[in-house]
Amino acid sequence: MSMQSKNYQNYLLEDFIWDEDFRNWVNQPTPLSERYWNEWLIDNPDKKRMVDAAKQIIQSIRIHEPEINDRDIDNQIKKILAQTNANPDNISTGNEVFNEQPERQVLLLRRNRLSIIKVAAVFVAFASIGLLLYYYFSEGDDKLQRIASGYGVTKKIILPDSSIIVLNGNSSINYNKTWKTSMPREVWLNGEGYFDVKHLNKTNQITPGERFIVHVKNLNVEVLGTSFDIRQRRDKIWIVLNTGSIKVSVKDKPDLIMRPGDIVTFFNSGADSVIVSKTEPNMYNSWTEKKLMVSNTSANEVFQYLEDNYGKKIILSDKSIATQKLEGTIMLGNLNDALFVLSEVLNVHVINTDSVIMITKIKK
Amino acid sequence: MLENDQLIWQTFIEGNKFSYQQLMESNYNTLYNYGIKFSQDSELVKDCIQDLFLNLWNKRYTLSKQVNIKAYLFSSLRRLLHRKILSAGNYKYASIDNQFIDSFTFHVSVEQQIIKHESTILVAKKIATLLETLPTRQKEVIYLKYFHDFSRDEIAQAMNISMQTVSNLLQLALKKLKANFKHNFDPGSLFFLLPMIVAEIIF
Repeated sequence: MSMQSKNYQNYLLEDFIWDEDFRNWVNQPTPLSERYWNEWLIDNPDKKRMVDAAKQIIQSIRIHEPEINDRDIDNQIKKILAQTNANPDNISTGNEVFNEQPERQVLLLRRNRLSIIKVAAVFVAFASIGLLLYYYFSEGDDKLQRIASGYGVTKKIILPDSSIIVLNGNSSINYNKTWKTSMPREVWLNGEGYFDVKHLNKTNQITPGERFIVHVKNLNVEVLGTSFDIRQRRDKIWIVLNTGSIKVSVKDKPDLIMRPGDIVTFFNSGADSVIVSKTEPNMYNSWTEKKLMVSNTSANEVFQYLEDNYGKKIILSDKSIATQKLEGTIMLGNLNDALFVLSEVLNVHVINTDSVIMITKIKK
Repeated sequence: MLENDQLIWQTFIEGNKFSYQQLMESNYNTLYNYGIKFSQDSELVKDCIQDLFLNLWNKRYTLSKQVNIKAYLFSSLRRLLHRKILSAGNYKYASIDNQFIDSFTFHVSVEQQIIKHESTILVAKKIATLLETLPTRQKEVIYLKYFHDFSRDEIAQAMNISMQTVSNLLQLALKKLKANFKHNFDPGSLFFLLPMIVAEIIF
């Protein structure tokens, strides 16, 4: 934010109205922008009337968007999906858009799907692939399932192969409704989930259908029969292995094989650094029993965990609150219980409003 | 959420139908609201959106991972609408240099209850009128930048113009929108100015 370099003192009403940073503060205030503008107003009290007027004008001007109701949208989308089902690979709309996007003619080799061949290649090959794709999409249920958990709520899901996933609050998974025994079992995860995967392999060879793959951002976690926890929040992904063994792969990096007790932390969605260390795995899935176990963890991390799970913004009045280290077990029955415990331990006031939670130090 | 959209796009171009559905669900409303500004024909806009997504499905395996999703969807819709409107023989929207003329309109309203002072309401109304009467391309740039948080690069892509043109259009538009009320001693607008002057004196 280049707010520091702007000469707001000399701004006129219309300058505020069309200033991006000012508008962002008015439309979507963040703790940072709130602090900046409130302090600026204290330093420039003569501008308060102008700022108030600009704020009201920004909030009052509405572009009329004609209503299209959700049902109408759903119907349209169903219609589109129906057409992709009917003739999956060559739908003619008579209206091919000239695309200036950097399209690449790619040789896509997928182990569990079909290869797409370069257009320069053969019409015959294309037709036969078209036929195969048709069978792939028309056979059985192609319906995808999405299950999400609300803030502060855990959800237990039983997958088609009887594997179990426990979803933590504010998380979701996607998976195909029916699983073919010839295809790997696949699940896409957002947020946090504890996995208990059914072991199917009976022989020395692993068939495709015995593989179980969890996709989280651009990581693929492959398991055979194991229990583990994956937590994807903000820009980090944690994977903790309880039992069994799993293989984690990221594009352009060597695969990582994990053993029980290993914890792997990925920064920046797997693109950057990875840290591998040992831990007590139960600390990372104690949430399935509605408690959070911490050991030498900063209060800041705990507050971030609560934010991610319950979806309510937490604002700390003092940086020193954030850096305190915590040890022990915090009950997670509901947010208030957790906050109560924290307020006792950290010696702080908790003010729980509709929109945010404010934590302030108790003055001696 | 930004990262979520990237993941949806990535899995979509690998053939994931659920991601395709999510892509539509996340973007349908915004695309419709954009399209309806080029043509008030609701069915036509819906048809174009359908074509857009069917084309997208057709070429999913050839799409790049590094795509600015919303700019791409907006620019594709814009092109489709352009073609469809032209082919409908509606010459009011005839194009020069591949651009629309007289074809980006919206109505702006002012929620007066929010505003405390009468003089401020007048300013808001004036801005609303100015917005509605901007030349079409300037109007579109303002819409994308201030009401959909498009960056200059994204606007350039959506409207198929250069970044320099975007900057020029933006500059022209802002100049009009900021037409300095206080120093405008045009007799015609004196009546409008009066409440503001009075407000200044009183407070």
